[in-house]
Amino acid sequence: MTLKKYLIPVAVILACALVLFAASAGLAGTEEAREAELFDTLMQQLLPGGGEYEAVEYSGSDSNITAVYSGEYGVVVDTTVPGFNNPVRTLVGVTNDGVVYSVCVLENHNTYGLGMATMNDWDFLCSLTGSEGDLTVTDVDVVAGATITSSAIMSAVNSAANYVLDSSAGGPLTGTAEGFAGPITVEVTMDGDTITAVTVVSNSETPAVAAGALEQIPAAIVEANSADVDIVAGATYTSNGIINAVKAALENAGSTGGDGGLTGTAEGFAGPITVSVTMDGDTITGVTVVSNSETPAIAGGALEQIPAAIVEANSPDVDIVAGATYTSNGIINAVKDAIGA
Amino acid sequence: MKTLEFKLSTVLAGVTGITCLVLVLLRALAPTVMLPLVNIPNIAALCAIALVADCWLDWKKPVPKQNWLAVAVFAVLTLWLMPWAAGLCGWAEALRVGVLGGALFTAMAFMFTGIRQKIFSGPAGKGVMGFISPLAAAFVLYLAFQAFADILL
Repeated sequence: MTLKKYLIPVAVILACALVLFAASAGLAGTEEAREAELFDTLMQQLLPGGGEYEAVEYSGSDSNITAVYSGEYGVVVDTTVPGFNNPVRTLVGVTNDGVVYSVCVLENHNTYGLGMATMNDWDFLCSLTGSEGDLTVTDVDVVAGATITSSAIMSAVNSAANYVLDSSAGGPLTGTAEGFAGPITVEVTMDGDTITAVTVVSNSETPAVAAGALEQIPAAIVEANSADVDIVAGATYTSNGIINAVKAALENAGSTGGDGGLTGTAEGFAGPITVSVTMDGDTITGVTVVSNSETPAIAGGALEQIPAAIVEANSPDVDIVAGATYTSNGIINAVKDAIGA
Repeated sequence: MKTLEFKLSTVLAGVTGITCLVLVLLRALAPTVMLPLVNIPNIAALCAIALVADCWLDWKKPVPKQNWLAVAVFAVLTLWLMPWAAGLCGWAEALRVGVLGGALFTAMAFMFTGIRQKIFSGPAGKGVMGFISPLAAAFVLYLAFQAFADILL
């Protein structure tokens, strides 16, 4: 009798497990089909008319990005960013020119009514669209009581936009500047922060005079990984035209060079912290934490306050936030790395 | 001397099985629905439901004695095998969930049994209150356990 009493719960447990296993296996095909259907619907809603989306292998260092899907008009970036007590999964649609077109929070298991409210707060979500990887908490009305989860979604949006801007996912970067006989347009191909190719797409220069510059300047820029190269004697205007066109392409993309966004990385408490610093001459106009692996509950204050303090002081030499020493120093050192201080 | 009962473990298995089945169906048929995480707060809720269901099934009967070791083992088995079989988490993660969830359920059941004995030996166990009191007690236990135990997962 006693043995039978032991067997009843064991039998129920095993029977339930078997039923669940069978149901899970039996519905796997349906699940896959529904997920594919949902994927297509989401892609068309995030970037309408973008045709068929294909997964692109992501080999970058941004830990926020888990997958990238490329379409005709841009990319949809799948991100997972630590929220207040659970990660937030967000899909971000970014056009080929790096502008955030749409944001969809897929999974958010943070505090009900607070962190979870971010996924349905249309004012907050709409305010993220139109940005170009430079969002900070001062730019957006974050959801009340959910600063850390709001920041996580903003970080996801910044990562997605910066992916397009920093890589060739949206095609080569294009820039135009005035040469001797007319505008010179170049295409710049990047691999992360490295210039891998410069192609003069169109020009109106005199071939006999400008041929040397048209050939040598692009090669020199790739070799120096910088637009600051020596001009070719006898083709000053053409040389400067190509150089300025490359600088324009880089600045348009927010990459390093010129007065565009600078990127720096330093070690925080739980991993590397990457920041994007925008400058206007010698003035720091914006500091954005692009990616980090810090514990939100501990590092949230530093992630919010240190960038703002650096902009206010126009210097990375600011006071650290108590209780988040490593994160504070990580952000400060990343900014120093970005501006070469 | 009351006989040993394992109905509580059977009820937990039933409640967990039904919940997992609903999640499997939702995952397959309604992929837009955000499924709850397999974590301590949600397991605490599941345990509270099982405790109340067991109490209601035995309404007006004496509170049965439990073999707490067997209750713990069955709870570990239940909370390990079912989320894994339903594909809600991998087997290693499911084992961790099972061990922690089993300990959680045993602790909740131990305290709930004490509360239940008090309830049914006094006026709170009479009439409609006999239905409401275990529900309220289980809800308070759920709040207490889910608030602190999430640190473990």
